[in-house]
This record gives sequence, structure tokens and C-alpha cells, in this order.
Amino acid sequence: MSKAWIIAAKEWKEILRDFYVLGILVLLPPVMVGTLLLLIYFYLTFFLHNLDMAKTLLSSMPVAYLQGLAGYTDIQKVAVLPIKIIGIPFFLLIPLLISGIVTADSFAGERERNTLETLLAAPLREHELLLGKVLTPFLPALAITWISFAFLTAGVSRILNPHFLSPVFPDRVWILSMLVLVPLFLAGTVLGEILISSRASSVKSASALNMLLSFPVLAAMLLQSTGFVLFSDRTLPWIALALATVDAWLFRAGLLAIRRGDLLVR
Amino acid sequence: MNGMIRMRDVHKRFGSHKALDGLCLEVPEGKVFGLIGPNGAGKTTTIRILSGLVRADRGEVSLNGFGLDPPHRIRRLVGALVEQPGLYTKLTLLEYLSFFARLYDLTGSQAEARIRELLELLDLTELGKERLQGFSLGMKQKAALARILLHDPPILLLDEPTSGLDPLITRRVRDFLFAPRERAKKTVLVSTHNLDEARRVCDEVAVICWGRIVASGPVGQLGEIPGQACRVTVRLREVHPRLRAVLEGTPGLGEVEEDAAARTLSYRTPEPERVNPKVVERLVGAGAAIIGVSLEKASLEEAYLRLATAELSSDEPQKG
Repeated sequence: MSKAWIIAAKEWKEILRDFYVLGILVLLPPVMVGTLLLLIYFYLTFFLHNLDMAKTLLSSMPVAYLQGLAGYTDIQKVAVLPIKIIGIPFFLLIPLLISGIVTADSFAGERERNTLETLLAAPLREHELLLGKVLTPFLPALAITWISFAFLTAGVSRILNPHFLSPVFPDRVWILSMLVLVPLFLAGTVLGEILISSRASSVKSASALNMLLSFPVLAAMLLQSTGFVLFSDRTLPWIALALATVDAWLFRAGLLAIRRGDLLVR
Repeated sequence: MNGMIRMRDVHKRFGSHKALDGLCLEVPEGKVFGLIGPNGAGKTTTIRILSGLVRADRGEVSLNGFGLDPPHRIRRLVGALVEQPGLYTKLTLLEYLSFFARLYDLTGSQAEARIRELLELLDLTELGKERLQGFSLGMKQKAALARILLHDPPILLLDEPTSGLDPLITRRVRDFLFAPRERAKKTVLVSTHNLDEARRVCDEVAVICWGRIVASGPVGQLGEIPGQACRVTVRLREVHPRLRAVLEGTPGLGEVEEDAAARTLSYRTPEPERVNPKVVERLVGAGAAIIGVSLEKASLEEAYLRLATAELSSDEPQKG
């Protein structure tokens, strides 16, 4: 494990010295959080001035959306809908995009720069190398996601709190999602991206293939917005279990992918 | 066999390409062993297998008596310099070497002392805090050399160590790597295209073609390997077509060449002791006035070219 930290520490140092990568990592979260906050703000402002439309909207909503909102006024129900419907899947885009920026370079970049052979010639066990490569994007992406969540909480509270007697955000589902779902989702994403990077012939092709990993998030958005699967107290444990299973399988696949000769010859 | 590096009947395929085809190699402790051969002969694959980067499909491989499994243990015995040493160019030289020192389990103080020693040896002390991205090719190669020597491995595997370097840097790198001080302690396997370099630095060389060794021996004797012809030049007072015909009619001689200006006839023979007296006797019998006879052993380059050409023109190994 200590050698995994050595690898990750070296790669963080390199990232901090790459102006463009660092710039994107710094800019991306405020852009994503800002977009979500603007959406919530304009949505709420619109329905505050169009109460009849709010009633019409609520009557056309799937019943599942309105569960747990008993006791709320119509405008309060409308106010929390965006954050309830697309909030969590949209927020998962942050760790997905951040890890993608760092991980595409993982093995494909080392191969392109001819550094992979020297790294593989060092006395590293396969799991140490894989963990090092996982930690490099995992910890910054998790930290940035949680910091973004703190900003989202502050922003949403500022927008919504005047309309409620007590704070409504973050609720339990959001907190559990941040503490459990995001790390599991991020681990799977990073492992998937590392697998892609280990097989891709260049950073460019790894980046292109990483786009495939956004499909599950888009699917989650679709399922959530159509009411088929909602992130809720009931579904979260199952989603977490599914993600943990996928993560374990991907870790094993990652170890197999790091067979030395296979990595060098692409 | 009890060589420091030992490979016996090693085979390796990459898809349909047969990279090594029953390669056998033994390098005794403390020797500098040159592996020479054309592109695609299997030199890099050999070094990658010995570095634990690639697994052989079958065959026996050992370093200092130990097999290659698990590879991470055997890598401590080896310092491997690949042909294009990629460096982490956003790091400084000191950060780069410290990173690898930690991977090789050197403690902080050990790493610091060893890095200082190597930077002094390689004349890089002034550049310790410079980022590697500004380094010239020669300086990068020296940085890579420092890396492979960090853990003071008993075995060095060098894949084209001076490839792409200018003659001055080549000489410095060579002087450092093969200086008596370093050489006394290390067993070195060096793959090279540079026959002059092989001749200068190697104790023994092997010619590799199609993934197998086709000849090997002490560097000064490669031309004497059975089957390798010497070149014999006969200087005459006058060269006459009749004398050339005499030579061409003598069994055991290769093609006869005539240099009218120098008034010489020359030929190749693998058995000069047996053939030359007969040649002299026949020439004298034909009325030749012989001024001198000189015998030139095949140079490393000639021997290599002949061996490699013969192998390459033979049937290509079966693919698929």
C-alpha cells in the first residue's frame, strides 16, 4: 500500500504542475454546481410567478416523485422537485468528468511518453501499481465532489430556505449518496477508465472511450426523470450493493490487465 | 552452467510473431556481454524478459540462480535501461530519483546519499533542482543511468544505451558505464547495433537472429569461431590471370579477388593453416614471385555481417 501512495504522490505532483489539467479541475466544479443552482433558481422563480402552472405540473408528475413531500405546499413541492429529480445523477457527472481527465493519461500516457517500461521495471506488486493508479484520480475527485456538495448545499439553502420553515437540503438520501454512492461510483469509474487506458493505444483514444462511461450516468438521469428508479432510502442500498459488486469485478479485471507484457505491447 | 544471467531454450511469441525461438544464453558474473543483431532479432524481448517486464512462454530463465517468479523480487537485482528512457519531465531530477529510490525501498538517508554520489559521478549535481523537461538527450540518458544505479544492482541490462547520442556524450556514457570501477562489480548484458561499441566494451558477444543465438564467444575471437573465414592476401611482383586461375582451382577457398593496382590476390578461408601452404606451393609452382602473405582474422563487423546475412537469407522462422 505504501508504494501505491508513492506513485499517487508523484502523479499529484505532476498534475499540480500541469497548468491546463489543474485549470480544468479547478473550473469544472463551480461550473457544474453553478449550472445546477441556476436551474433551481430560474425554475423556482418561474413557478412562483405561475402558480397555476405549478399545480398543473404537480398533477402530471409520477406519484413516486411526490412521496415524502406530504405536508408541503404546492410551491414547496415544486421547489424541491429539480433537486429531487435530476440532482443526484447530475451531480455524479462531477466525479465522472474529473476522474476522466486524470485517468485517461494513466497507462496510455505513460506508454506514449515511454515512462511505462521504467515504472514496470521497478519492484512493484501488481496490486500496488493498480492502487497507485486508482488513488491518483480517486482522492482528488472525491475531495472536489464533496467540496462541490458543500457549495451546492450552501447555494440550495440560500435559494430554498426562505420558502420553508426548516432546512430541506441536504436530506438523508443526498447525504447517504455523497458518503456511500459517490465513493463506490467513483471507484468503479476510475477502475473502468484505468482498464480503458491500459488497453488504449493513445491518450486520445482513451479519452474518447471514456465517454462510454457517461452512459450509466445518463441512464440514471433518464430512469430518475421518468420515475422508473428513484434515489431513495429503499433503492440506495441496492444501488450501492450493485456498485460494490461491479467495483470488485473491475478491480480483479484491472489486476489481470496489468500483466506486464500486455501493458507494454499495444 | 552457473552464469549470473542464464536463459535456456526460451521461447516467446507476440501473436503470430515468434520473438524468441529457443534462445540460450549464459553470462558469467562480472562480465560485460554484448548482444548484437539486426532489428527484430529479439534483443529487446530478451532484455524485457530478464527485467521481468515480459513473461517467457517457455524455457528456463534465472538471475543469480533465482527464477523470475515473483518478478517484483527479481527486479531488485536488475537495473534496466531501455532504449528510449522516458522521464517524468514535470519532476526535477532530484524528485525523479527520489521517487525511484523509494520504490526500491531505499530509506530517506540512503536515498539522499546515493543520489548525491550518483549525481557527482555523472556530473549532474548542478542540475538536481532542474525539471527534466529542459534536459538534452544526453542529460536525459545520464539521468536514466543514475536511476538504474540507485539500488546498486549486481546486474545491468542495457538496451542500446548510447542510441541517438552524439559521439561526445556516447563516449562519456560508455566511460561511466564500463569504467573499471563499475565494471568490476557488475554483470552487464548490453544490446547494441554499434559493433565498435561492442568491440570496445564487451568481454563476450553473441549474435542473435530470428530469436536465437547464432554465434557467441570472446569478443576478440568471434572471427575465429569455427566456420568463420579469415581473409588472406597474397602480394605478388606481378598479377597474372594464370595465377588467379591457380587460386580459383584450389579447393577450400572462397571467392578470389584481384587488386591490380596493389598487385594482390586475396581470398577467404576458414582453415588458413591447412590451405595457405598449399596455395603458396601452387603459386610458386605456377611461377609466381610472392612478396608477402598476410592473414587477417575476420573483424567483429565482418563476422557479424556474415552471420546475420546468412541467417536472414535463410528461411524465415515459421509464423502463426
